[in-house]
Amino acid sequence: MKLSFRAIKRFVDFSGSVEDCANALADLGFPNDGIEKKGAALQSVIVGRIDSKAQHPQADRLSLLKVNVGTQILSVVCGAKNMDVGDHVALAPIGATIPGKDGKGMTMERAKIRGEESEGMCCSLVELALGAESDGIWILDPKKVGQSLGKPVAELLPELSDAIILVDVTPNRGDALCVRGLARELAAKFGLKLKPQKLGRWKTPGANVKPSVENFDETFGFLACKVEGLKVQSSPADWVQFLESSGARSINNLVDATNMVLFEYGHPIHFFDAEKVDANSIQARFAKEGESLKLLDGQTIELHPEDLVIADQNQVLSLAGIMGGAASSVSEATTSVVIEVASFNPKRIRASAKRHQLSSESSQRFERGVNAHRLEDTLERALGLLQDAGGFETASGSKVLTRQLPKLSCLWDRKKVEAKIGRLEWSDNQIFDRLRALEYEFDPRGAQPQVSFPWYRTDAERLEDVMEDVARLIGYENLEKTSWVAEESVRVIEDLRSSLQVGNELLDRWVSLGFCQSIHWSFTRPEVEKDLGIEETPVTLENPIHAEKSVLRQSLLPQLLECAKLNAAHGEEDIRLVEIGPVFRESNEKNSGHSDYLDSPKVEEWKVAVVWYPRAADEKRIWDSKEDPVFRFKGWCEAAMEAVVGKPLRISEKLFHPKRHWSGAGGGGGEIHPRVMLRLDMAGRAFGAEWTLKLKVKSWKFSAPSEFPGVDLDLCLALAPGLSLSEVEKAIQKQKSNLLESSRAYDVFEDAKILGAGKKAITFAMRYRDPKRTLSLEEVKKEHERILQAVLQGLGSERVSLR
Amino acid sequence: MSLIEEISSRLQRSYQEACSLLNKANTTSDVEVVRIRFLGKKSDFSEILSGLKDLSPDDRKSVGQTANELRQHLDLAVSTKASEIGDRELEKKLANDPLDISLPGKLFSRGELHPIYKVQKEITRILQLMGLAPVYGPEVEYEEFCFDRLNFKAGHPARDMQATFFVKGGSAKGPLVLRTHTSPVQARVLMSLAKQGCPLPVRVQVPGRVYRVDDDATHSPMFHQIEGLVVDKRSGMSDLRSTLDFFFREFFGPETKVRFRPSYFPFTEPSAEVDVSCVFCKGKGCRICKTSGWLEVAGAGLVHPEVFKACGWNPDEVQGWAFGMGIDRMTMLKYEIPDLRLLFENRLSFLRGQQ
Repeated sequence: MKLSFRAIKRFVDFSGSVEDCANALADLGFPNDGIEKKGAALQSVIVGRIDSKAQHPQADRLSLLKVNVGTQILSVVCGAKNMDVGDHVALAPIGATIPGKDGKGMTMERAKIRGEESEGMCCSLVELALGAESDGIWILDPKKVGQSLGKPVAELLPELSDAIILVDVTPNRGDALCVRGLARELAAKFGLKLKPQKLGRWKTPGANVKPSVENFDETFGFLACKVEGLKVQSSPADWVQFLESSGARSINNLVDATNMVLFEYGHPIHFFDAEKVDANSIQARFAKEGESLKLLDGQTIELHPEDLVIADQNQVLSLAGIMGGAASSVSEATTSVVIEVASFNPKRIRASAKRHQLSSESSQRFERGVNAHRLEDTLERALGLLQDAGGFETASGSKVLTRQLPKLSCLWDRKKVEAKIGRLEWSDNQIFDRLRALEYEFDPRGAQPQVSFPWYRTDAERLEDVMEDVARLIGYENLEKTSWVAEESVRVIEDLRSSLQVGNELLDRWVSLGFCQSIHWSFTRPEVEKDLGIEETPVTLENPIHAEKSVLRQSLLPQLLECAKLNAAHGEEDIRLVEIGPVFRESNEKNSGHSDYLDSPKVEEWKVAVVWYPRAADEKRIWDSKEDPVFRFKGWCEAAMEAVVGKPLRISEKLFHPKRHWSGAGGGGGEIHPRVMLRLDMAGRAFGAEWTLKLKVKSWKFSAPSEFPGVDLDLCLALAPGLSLSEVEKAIQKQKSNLLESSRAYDVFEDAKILGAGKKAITFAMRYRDPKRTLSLEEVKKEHERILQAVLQGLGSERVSLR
Repeated sequence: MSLIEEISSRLQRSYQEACSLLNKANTTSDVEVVRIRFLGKKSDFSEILSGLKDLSPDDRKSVGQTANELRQHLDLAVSTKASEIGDRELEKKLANDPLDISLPGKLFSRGELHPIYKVQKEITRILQLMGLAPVYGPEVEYEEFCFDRLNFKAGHPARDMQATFFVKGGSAKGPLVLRTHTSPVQARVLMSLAKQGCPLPVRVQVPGRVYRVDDDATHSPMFHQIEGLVVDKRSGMSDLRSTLDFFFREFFGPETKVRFRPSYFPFTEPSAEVDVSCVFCKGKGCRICKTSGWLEVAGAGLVHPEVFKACGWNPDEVQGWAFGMGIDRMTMLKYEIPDLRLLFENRLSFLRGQQ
């Protein structure tokens, strides 16, 4: 529903902003679909005065205006006819944005209209989204303008300072579909009091008004009141504004009074012209077979025997709770009315509204339930409103009410409440005070206080419903929270978490490549590390277990190699080991950021390392003996490390064969240096690699499956000695275009006789593809040629040539 | 016989003949012969269809329709027969496959995680179910964090219970040790949270490598521990017991029983040793549980107020509990590994497990 923020303030002294109000309502269970600030669009539209007016020389229908906006005088071309010199207008200067006729927003730009400069636009009500139709531009009321030339138009008009909260009300809370209902909630939350509204007096029982109810299962209560001495006139400005904010249009004081009550109290009422009904026989009953009714909107409906109607002895007057009849409606000539204030069975209203495809503000509220308690309150508010707009002479009426009006109550049980919603900081009395603001009642007699639900609630009956209201008033966010799952707050110390995530990912990959995880002690011999080319100062123990275990390791590889050797001594073949664990070294500076831990006394870093020790006997069984095992190992490294990204890190080169190693993200590897193998007394070749875990696991990213076929072309290049594949790959990557999807070296050919000594021929598989269309062979060939020429040129034709 | 009748009877004859030849066809090439003769460029059908233009429009229509229908039938019959024969010939070829599938597959070694690591992952998983987030600390540790802040007073006999490796040189903040347990991370967590105003709850687990000067059949100078720490406004023995109940049932199986016995640790008060019913004999009594039916698996207790104080927390405002266990011991129990030393020897035949 549209809730006017100004109206809320008539009902409760809410001191916060409209946003505060909207947030508070949301906390109470009434979220919103946004806030409309009526004046917001008009902040850039300013007040101007027309100082002169002349005919446009090129166009009969246009005028040239000089508009004074206080600080300057603007030239404006205007197409309207309804303005004169001296009029005040709403001017949108250059740069201003206004809603525009289509509501999509338009921004003023400097423009020449038929050759004449225009520095702004005089706006109509429609263009400012202030009215549905307008006759020419908007001429401001001179009384309101005063000295405000150049000021925003919005400041002149209090109605534009209203804001409307688009409140969502859940179906169980029909009572909250009104200003009073929501104001009551706010009052209870903030400990405020609802402000009394002006009420009117009436006499009861009334003479010549005798409402009756055919069936109290269908109509719970019916109050009819005859009001005489009325005068139809237009409504006060604040009514008009409130109704507009609420989504209705002002008609006259009588019609408006019914709508005011509807939006304020959420109780739809109806005015019959007293001249046109027999108030003595007015009755709520089922329609009879064959009856029909001409409605206010002009259409005539055939009534169904299950439609509830209001009728007198002569005719059907209205479709109860949904829409009044045309014959009994108020008109300009009306001087007295019969006010109907009633409560109907929601199911019946829902069925009738559906049957006749009629949905009104009235039916929407009756469908959710309007309580039969306190029909008088509603009537008195209507009378109060009438007194404010035209007044009346007499009011008298009578009420009939079902005897089975439910008075729902339950017993207060704090233990049970706390067991369910957590420990409460408020005392019982504090809680009861807040609930009283929601119009709960408490009877403290007896061991447990008896709680009576608010008269307006139709959905509450149990202690759980009270709990919910208590929780709403406290705010769900403020309820006691006993966490079961740890929160982020515990993750305070700089720790290994992300490193270990990477480690586990890599570990899984290596395990699936046939590697077994080993775990080694952190101690090692100082000499081993020196032998392997590690020269930094190790962390040394004062009281080692053995002299051989006197320092903490700086690399995982030495122990892995020794472990491979041990396994070889036990006759294992194809030895593949992987370890994930910490390495240690003395810190050069305090907390240099090298450590995996904050405030760690030494530098500790987690790494992952692998060793492969294939033995001569494996050759027959494991791989194609023509393939050098170093490439098999390199392939595994690439496959495993494909999972992560990180900064390149150079490895300790002394550990590796001078020509057979590589570095990449986080580390690298290669063939273990034959010198190291000798020192370790290991025969044959071994391969190893080590990476830091300060890497990131690549996250899976969506890639649209290609709809169009790719074109594969081979590119075969002859490389001069000394030119490495990676240089050529880089040169190709540099030429990568929208068409080249991928390039990959797949064949290496070396033959001194054919190619020349030291030369090798490498074939690249080039795939071309355009994600949006099928490529023609011609354009692919053209692109292929372009890349080829660029690569040849980039690397130099003496180093690379087409083969 | 009119021209039209003559043509249609020629078509019919042609069709009949093609069908009977198709029936006799046995090979793909037999079918191909029929296709070329009756549907090819020089077939009767083609000839007649190409001659249609000389006929009157009415005749063209009726002859054309008949010819087309017969040709479509024939076309279908030919392709059906061709795929029938094709399938048969393929099956025959596959039946004579020269490949010997009983030859062995290409050898590929199987990798495995280290059993300690498997167990650590499992323990961490279960504790995470209960909301304990893993945190980690350094292994080279200040002596102060390892002992003093955990209520191991200087000169306290409890310090001797854990034979400690000292690091040469120490640090500006005092002596350095290899941590003897994972508990210094408790101190680190509590101290760093104290700086943030002691936000609750604290729910962490600390897995990691720890060191003690001990090397024999049942002790390794490096081994693994995991511990849990929970601090909240009100959380005590009952939460501790239900947590460990859940943990050990999840780890060893639903029939596992858990027992608390009074004990002593400097950093908890009250303290407890935690036993589980023997996983080997189900509590009946055996060699491994020394006929008691129970296995000692963990230490636990409520966080000592002195620990809270030493780490900047007010022991009157919070309660907490902690427990710790040896991952290596849990591994040995879980997989029935008889000798601790096997765990760190890293022989492939051990790491791969039973194939």
